[in-house]
Formats: sequence, C-alpha cells, structure tokens
Amino acid sequence: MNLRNAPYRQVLRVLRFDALDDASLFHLAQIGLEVGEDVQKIQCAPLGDPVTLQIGESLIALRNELLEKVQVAVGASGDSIK
Amino acid sequence: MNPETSSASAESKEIILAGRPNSGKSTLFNRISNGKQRVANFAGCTVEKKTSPIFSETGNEFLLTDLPGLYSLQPTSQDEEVALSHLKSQKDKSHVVFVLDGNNLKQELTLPLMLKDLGYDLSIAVNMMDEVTANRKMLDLAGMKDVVGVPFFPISARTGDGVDALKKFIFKKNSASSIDCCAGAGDYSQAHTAELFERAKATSKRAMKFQTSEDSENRLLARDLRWDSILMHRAWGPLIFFAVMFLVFQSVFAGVAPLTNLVQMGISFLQDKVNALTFLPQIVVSSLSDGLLAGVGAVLVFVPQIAVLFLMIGFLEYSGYLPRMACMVDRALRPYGLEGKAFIPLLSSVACAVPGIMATRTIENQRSRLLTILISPLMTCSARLPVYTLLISTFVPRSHLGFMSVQGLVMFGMFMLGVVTALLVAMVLHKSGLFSSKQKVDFIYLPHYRRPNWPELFRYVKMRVIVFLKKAGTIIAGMSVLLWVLLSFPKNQSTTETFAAAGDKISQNASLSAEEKTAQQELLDHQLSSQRLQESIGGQLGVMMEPLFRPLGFDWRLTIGIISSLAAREVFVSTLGTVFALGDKSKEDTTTLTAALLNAKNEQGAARYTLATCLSLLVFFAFSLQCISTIGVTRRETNSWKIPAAMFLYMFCLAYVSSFVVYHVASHFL
Repeated sequence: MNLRNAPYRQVLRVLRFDALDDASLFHLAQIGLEVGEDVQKIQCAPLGDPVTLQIGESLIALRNELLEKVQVAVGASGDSIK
Repeated sequence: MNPETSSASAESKEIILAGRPNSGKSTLFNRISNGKQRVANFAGCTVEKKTSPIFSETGNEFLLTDLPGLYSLQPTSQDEEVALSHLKSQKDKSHVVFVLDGNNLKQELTLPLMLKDLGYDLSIAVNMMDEVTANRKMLDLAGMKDVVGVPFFPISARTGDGVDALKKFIFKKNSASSIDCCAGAGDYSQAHTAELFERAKATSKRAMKFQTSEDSENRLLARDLRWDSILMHRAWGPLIFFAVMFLVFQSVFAGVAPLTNLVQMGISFLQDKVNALTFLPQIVVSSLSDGLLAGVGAVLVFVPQIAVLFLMIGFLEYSGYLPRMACMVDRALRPYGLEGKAFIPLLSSVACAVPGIMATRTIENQRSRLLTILISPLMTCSARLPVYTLLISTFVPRSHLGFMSVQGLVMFGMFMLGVVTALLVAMVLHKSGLFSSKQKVDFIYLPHYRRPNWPELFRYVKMRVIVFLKKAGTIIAGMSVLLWVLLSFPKNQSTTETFAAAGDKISQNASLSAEEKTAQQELLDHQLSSQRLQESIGGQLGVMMEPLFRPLGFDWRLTIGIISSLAAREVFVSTLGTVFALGDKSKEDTTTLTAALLNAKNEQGAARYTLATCLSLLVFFAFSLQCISTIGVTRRETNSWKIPAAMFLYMFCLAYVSSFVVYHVASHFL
C-alpha cells in the first residue's frame, strides 16, 4: 500500500519509492525517509493535505502526491519509533 | 557590534557555524559574538551568511560566520546554496563548528560525518542539551567522539551552558595550529555524496548506541502531538488560525492608545518648548517646530503600534506555531501557484517586505518563489501602519461591535484586502503561464513547540523599533526638513502686503465688534497661510501634479504626500504633519493631525476630506509600491531589473484603478 492510503498512528516500514528521480530520493533520505526506515502518519492538515509524518524524532509535513509514491507496510523494521 | 556591518582583518581565521536548519546556529552566534542576529523557531530563519569578529582572552582575532541551514551536500534551495558554497570556498582556511539539535541526533549526525570525510576541520556542538535532559535522554558524547573521530561539545546556546568550553576549544585550536583539514576542493558530485551518505549513516548508527533514554516515550514529541491535535485539528485548527491573525491586528489598536497619547503629548510638549524659544529667529523656530517635530512627531506616535505588531509576530516565530500555519494553508495556496512555505515570507512581509522577500530563499520551487516575491509587497507591512492608523482613527468611528473595536476590524479588513489581492495577483500570474519550473520534492519541517525566549523576543522588538526610529531620524527627518523648505519658500511679499492691508481694514472697521474682528482676523490668517502654502515650491509641485491624482479624490496637499511617500510610506504622514503645521489651519482644533484632517474645510466650507477620500487613500496605499528598499531587494534576489520594474508598474496601475473606482463608488453611496 502507498503511504497516502496507509493507516494513521501505526508504525510503517518504507518498502520502495515509485517514480521519483535520484535527486528527490536523495533529498528525502536526508530527512530520514528512505527504504527500510520507519514512519508514522500522525495527522493531516485541516484541508486534508499535507500530512504530518513522524520520521525518526522529527515531525515533517509532506504532500499527498508524494505520499502516493511511497510504498509502505505496516510494522516496524526493528528500530521502532518511540 | 553589528555583525552585518562588521569586518575582521584579512588574516583572521574563520570559525564557521554550520548545521541543519533550526539547530540553533544563530542563537549560538549571538551567544559567542554578542550579536543581534534574528533567531526564531522555524527552519529558514537565517537565509544569508553573517559574520562578526570575535576575540579570544589572549586577544587573538577570529571571524565568526553564521551560515543558513543545510540539509545535504546537494542543495535544493538558495539558502542551502549560500551555505554550501561558503563552506566549499573556505574549506582550507576555516574551522567548522557543526551545530546539531541534540533532540534529533540520528538524522543530524550524517551531514557532519560527510563533511569530515570530505576533509573539513570539524568539531560538533550538540545543542539544546537543556531539552535533551528534560526529555530524560542521556548522551555519552565521549563514546560518540570515539566512534566519529571529532570532538563533541554539549551546549545549550539558549541558556549559555557549555558555550564557554566550546569557545575555549576553538580559540585554543585555531590559535595554536594551522587548520587541520585536507587540502583540495573535494568531490561533491551526486554519486560521491551518495557514497558518503551511506558511510555516514553506518557511522551514525554506531554512534547512536551511545544515546539512551530513561523513558520509553519521547516527551517533547508527545507534547508536540498533543498541541498539534488541537492547533491543527480539522475544525478547530482553521478557527484558531483566524483567531490568531485577528488578534494580531486587533492588538495593534486595542491597548496601545494610552501609550500613543503619551508620545503625542511628548511631541506637543517639545513643540511648545521650541515655540517658546523667542530668542531664536522665527525661521529657525518654524523649521524645528513645524518641520522637524511636526514631521517626525507625526510618525513617532506609531512606535507603540509598531512594537505591539513585532511582539505578536515575534511570539508566533518563537512558538513553533508558524510552520504549522504554513502547513495548514499549503493546500489552500496551491491553486494560486504558491505553496505552504510561502506563508512564512508573506507573514514576514507583514513586518517588512524586505526580510519577507529574502525569506523566499527557502522555497525550492523557483516559480513559487518568484510569485511569492511579486506578491510580498501587497502584504500590509509596518510602514503602512502609520498611514492606515492615521486614516482609520480619523475617519472611522471609535465604536465597538460587541467586544471588537470597529477601527480594529477595519485594520483587519485592510490586512485581508492585502492578502486577497496578493492571492488574486498570484493566481493571474500563475494561470498566465509566464513562470514555470520543475516540480521538486518539498516538505515543511515542524519544530518542537517552545516557550518564547522573552529576553530574546524583547530584544527583537527593540531592534525593530530602533530600525523604525532610525528611519524616523534619518529619512523621515530629512524629508520633513526638506518639505518644510519646499513648503515655506518662496515667501511672496505682495501676498503678505495684500493680507496685511486686509488685516488693517478689519482692525479699523468700527462697525465690527471685538469678537467679530478676532474671528475675521483668524479667517484671514488661515487664508494667508493657505495662500502661502500654495505659492511655495512644494505647493506648486502639488498643484502641478494634482490633475493626475484628482480623479482619485486627492487634492494637491495629499498629492504632495503621495509623491514624498515614494521614499518611504511613512513619509506620507510626516508630510501631512508638516503641511498642516505650516499652514492651512482652520480655526477648529488642529492640535493633532487627526483633528486637522477632520476639520479641514474646502472653499465652500464643507469638509475637505471625507470617508470616500479616506477609503481611496487606504486602497491606494494598500496596493502601490512606495518602497525603494523593496525594489532594491527584489533586484538583488531576482538578479534582474525587469522583475522590480514590472512589480512597480503592476502595483501602481492596480492602486490607481482601484482607488479611482473606490472613490467614485464611495462618493456616490456614502
């Protein structure tokens, strides 16, 4: 499932990214969003977009169009989010 | 010392403060250099490098540099490019203190490790240790040092803890030896950077074993989430958002009236004192009282309002709520070609368009950035505040609608007018297809909520007030004196003689009572000062330009104000202050500019300025670009004269046409 459709408040493991160039992937990796890492959807903005994610110990808001390109699975990779 | 204007000798070794956005670099910079850099709780507060000379206890001089935040070695925004290009250019000649947010070490550690691999001379300052401790986390920095291979310093730039040890280290290190780095530019290609990143992640993972926590819950994050569940709630979030914005503009009117009156009384007191200096020539007394004090004083009365506005904006900037506001409006801004990140520059433009336009550097998308630059001057900046306040307090009744001040409501309406117009302009430009750029991955970093650092916040307000006062003491004072000269000379002798003869006739007229004589003499004096004003160079200039502005309801006096306000918007108020102090006084109360405007009569004895004039002026000032600094900074940020020229032109046309429509519609219906 993609991150847009993933449930809120559950630890999700990033499986892969669809249709993103290397520069974008690298940019996302710098903020901790990369394959194998855990994320949690926290809440969406009042108009439904963007969505606040907990990545590591940071809160970062990303747009739905980007979340659609991130494939995730429910369950932590090992380093569970506190 | 002011870091922006300071410089150090060419031989000074440079100490660079680098780090990710919002890691506390500028706070540390201020702490070490006693600097006055703006600090706030959002990513992208610093968008250009700042330097300041600093001295060790032994008197050695160093150059301390504060860089904008940097996420990676592949910059995606202009502020990141500024930071990376400075790091590259100074690699062999500087020591880098990499400032990390201790609350988020896992993500923050990779970039300094990459720099270390590239051969930078580096030490690491783990900032916000006060929060780390409060969050019951423990960092074994000695263990981390062993893994990473660079010295770690636990600090809290906010409280100053640990900063002395860091300073001692960098002074000692840089005094004793040459820079300990590998020569050569280094490979910053994407492929190599990716390699470095992988290595850095592995090292970071090992280093993170030295971070432990007493608590299974991250208290800081948990607190953020609790606040977010209210402040970004689907229903409450927008309501709170509008309530906050409304409060900002209500507070500008409510509560500051006593302070404003106090300043007004002070100015009047000074004017009385100057007028009493009978030993001075009348021309000197007039230039001081009617020129300098009337002009500058008319603007100074707005200092309390400016202070309140900056206090409110500063509070938002420190609290961590600002990026949340950006997040909430992101979706709403998209149809206009803008993004949530534009919210911060646009709100900064409410204080002043210059830092607002510079803050657009954090916007990665070039189209969105350019659109934000073009609409930033439409936001209600603090320079408009004196004009709006004067006009609103003169022509809008001082009444209340429930608990809300009507004047405050109109002020909020002016703010909303700026916002709505800015959005419409952005949409037109966006739909025109004039601007296009490649879509980039974009995110909004949401920092921890923090209590404002009150001393820092008050210092920020003080700085902004000083900037305003400096403007009043230089541009506005200069313009006031110049306008006094232009509005006082030449003095036509025949006019004086004609009115003197008329005065003699009144005094010799036996059929008039003493009271009637006084009244007629007052009327004559009023006509004389009005005639003199009109005959002055400034008056003639105003009369000459009047046909251009008459369709908008502006007479030659307001026309002079409009022309002089091209230097700075506030000059409009000081100009009117001088115009009404010099002449054109009616026999009614003219002790304040408000009273003078309200009581001004035309030749037919009717009110010269009406609500329609007021609305037309408000609209004109809302839309026109009367700010040389904004034009200058736009030229610098866009590297082109075309953009500021287009900006000036579209805003003038918008202002002119809108004022014309408003004046004629209002004259018809009001």
